[in-house]
Amino acid sequence: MRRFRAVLLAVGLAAVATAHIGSPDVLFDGAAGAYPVRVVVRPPNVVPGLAEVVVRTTATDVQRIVIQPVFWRTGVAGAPRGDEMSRVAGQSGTFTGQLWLMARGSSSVYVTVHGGRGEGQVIVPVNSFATGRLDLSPGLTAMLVVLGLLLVAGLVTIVRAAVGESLVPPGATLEPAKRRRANVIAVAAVPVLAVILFGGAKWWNAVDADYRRSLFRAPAVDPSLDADGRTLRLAIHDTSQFRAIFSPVAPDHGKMMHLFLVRSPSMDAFAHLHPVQLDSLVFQTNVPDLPAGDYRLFGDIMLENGTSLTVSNVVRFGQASHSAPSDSDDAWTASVAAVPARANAVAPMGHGYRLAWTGGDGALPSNTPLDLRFIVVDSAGNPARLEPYLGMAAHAVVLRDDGSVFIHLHPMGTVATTAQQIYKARDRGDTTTGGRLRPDVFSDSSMTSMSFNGALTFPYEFPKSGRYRIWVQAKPTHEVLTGAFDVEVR
Amino acid sequence: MNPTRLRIFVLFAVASAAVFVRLGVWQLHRRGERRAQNAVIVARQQDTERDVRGLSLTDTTALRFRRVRVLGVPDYDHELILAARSHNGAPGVNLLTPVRVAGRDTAVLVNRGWVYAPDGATIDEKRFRESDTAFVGYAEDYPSATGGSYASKPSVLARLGADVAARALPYPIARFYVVALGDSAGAADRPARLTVPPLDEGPHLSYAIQWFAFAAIALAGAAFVVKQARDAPRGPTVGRGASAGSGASG
Repeated sequence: MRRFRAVLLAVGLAAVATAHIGSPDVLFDGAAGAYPVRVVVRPPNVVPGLAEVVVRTTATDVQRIVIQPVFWRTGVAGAPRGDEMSRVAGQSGTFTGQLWLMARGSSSVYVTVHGGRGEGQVIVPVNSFATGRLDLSPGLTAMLVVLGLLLVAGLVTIVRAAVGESLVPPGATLEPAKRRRANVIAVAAVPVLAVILFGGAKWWNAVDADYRRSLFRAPAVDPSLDADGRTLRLAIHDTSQFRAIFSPVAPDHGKMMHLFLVRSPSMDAFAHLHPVQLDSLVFQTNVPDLPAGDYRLFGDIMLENGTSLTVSNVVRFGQASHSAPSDSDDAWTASVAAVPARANAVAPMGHGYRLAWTGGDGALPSNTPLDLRFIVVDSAGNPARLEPYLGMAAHAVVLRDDGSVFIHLHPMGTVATTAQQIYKARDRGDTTTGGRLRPDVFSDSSMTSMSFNGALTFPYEFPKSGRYRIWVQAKPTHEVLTGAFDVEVR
Repeated sequence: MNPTRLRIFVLFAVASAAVFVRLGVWQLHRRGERRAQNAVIVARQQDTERDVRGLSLTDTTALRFRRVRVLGVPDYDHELILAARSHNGAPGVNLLTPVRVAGRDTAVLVNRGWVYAPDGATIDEKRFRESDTAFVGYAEDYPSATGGSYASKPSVLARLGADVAARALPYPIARFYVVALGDSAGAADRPARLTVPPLDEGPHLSYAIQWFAFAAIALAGAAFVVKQARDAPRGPTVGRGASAGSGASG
């Protein structure tokens, strides 16, 4: 047996906002009671701020839709009344509305559909974090400068009048000596006003600095490999004054962390692992049989308050003797043959199964809600039956080639079912005496007895143009198989 | 009293008595629960002292009131102050010190005790730093999930809660905290340790007696009113008989 060596390379990646990198919009595809709905929430980048909500439904008997912002700490009992959405003229079944997200932290949008079949509701979890500042436009800046100068000039004029013309009776002429005195005092008022303005600017900058310090920044992860490179240890920590991780990590799909490894820059090796939790924010997994190289790692964690977070870094694996998987649901492939996404394109998954791209030719549009459609087919070309993988028909991972966009998708969209369950449990009052959710809330609701047909749809909105790779993981056999496509987004 | 009104009154009194009896029984149940909880607490207090390094710092279900030892490095730079705590009638604060435990990423918050503060919030924490690195006490649940701090001073807590404490510290903390025990007299440079809460039965028995007394009063009162109504002399009858009597006397 060869001696193996592993070298770690830790490189900070771009900040992330939630359980994604660079892809802040939230998409949900599912049902609100009896009504099929697709919900798109575009959260603001400042808090308090306005979130844009769009709901589309194919149901023809929908009368009205109400959206309500529910913050984790308050629950429904402390939430404001919902707002009725407006129908979009000329767009059948499309409703739009805006909601104020007033506080930072875990939040959600409750979408209630009223129609001929009664009332149906769905919860769409949304992370409410301040991630940026609103800059003044050059035009507004110029206008404010001009108005400010006018105000200062007006104030100097008032000072001059107060010590000059205002002291003589109406119609009388100001004596030259008094006029000179008024002019001198007006000139002396200018530096006084300048000092006041300077103090105001200092105060303004101090407030701005405080705000910048409290902006959300992604928690970081420090990866380390043991001496023989067989075990990967991940330590997570917050990186800003605003603490994102103040609630315990909760299982999502029965796993404390979903870790994705992608060999960089070739993106030809891929792994979806489930590290075990060693301590509050320390996780560990066995390194699977992957080729040596630098790997981008993305760790999805869910907090007990419904917040979803992604941490990322880069780790270098050497040639190591690899041990058994830490978790029975771990899946990886050492060599992914990605296929350009064109009409009728088919990507191999292994064991005779293939993944067919059922989208069209050409580049996909960015900033537009899309359905990424695939079919898993068997060796005879027939749609395969799929066993559930971690409670879902399939999982997809979207990664931009420069690593600036990453997201873990399900057929229901970008939201996590566990976060929905957490909010439902919060409303029911399924909490301990200290307010914590009871552990049974997090029981894995995997649909182990169900099976799915091979047609898969992942709703997603690409946030910007570029080259992306999409990995789709499904279980047409007892084994998790992976297929991949490269897509161009304009 | 009008017979209909009397019947309604009696029904109301009996219903009230039934409710009062039920509330009294409920208080007796509460007393039983309190006794059972006290028995658990006594058993846990008498149990062997445990080192927090060997405990789950997230699952606190079987931990409350157990005697524990926290061995680690107190992080006085991130000490929290729990405001408005009184001690023998004097205003003051409790000092909550995170203790970093070796080999864990998770700190344990230790309530080191009470110190005098005239305004119930402001003290010179540096005066009360201790050289000890071991604290013995009992584990306690956070009283609430959220808690609250003062906007101008995030390290001063108005209400203790798991979230507010976790937000104030740059590392994870255990889902319980430890109340350090020891010398409760205090000193100029050392906080007065808190004591184990009294394991009494609470006011439930007296509350139960009160509810039963209310029931008895309702029933006795109703019986009294009924008796009075029956014993009351009938008033002059109106109608034919009265007219005849009137005619006889005239």
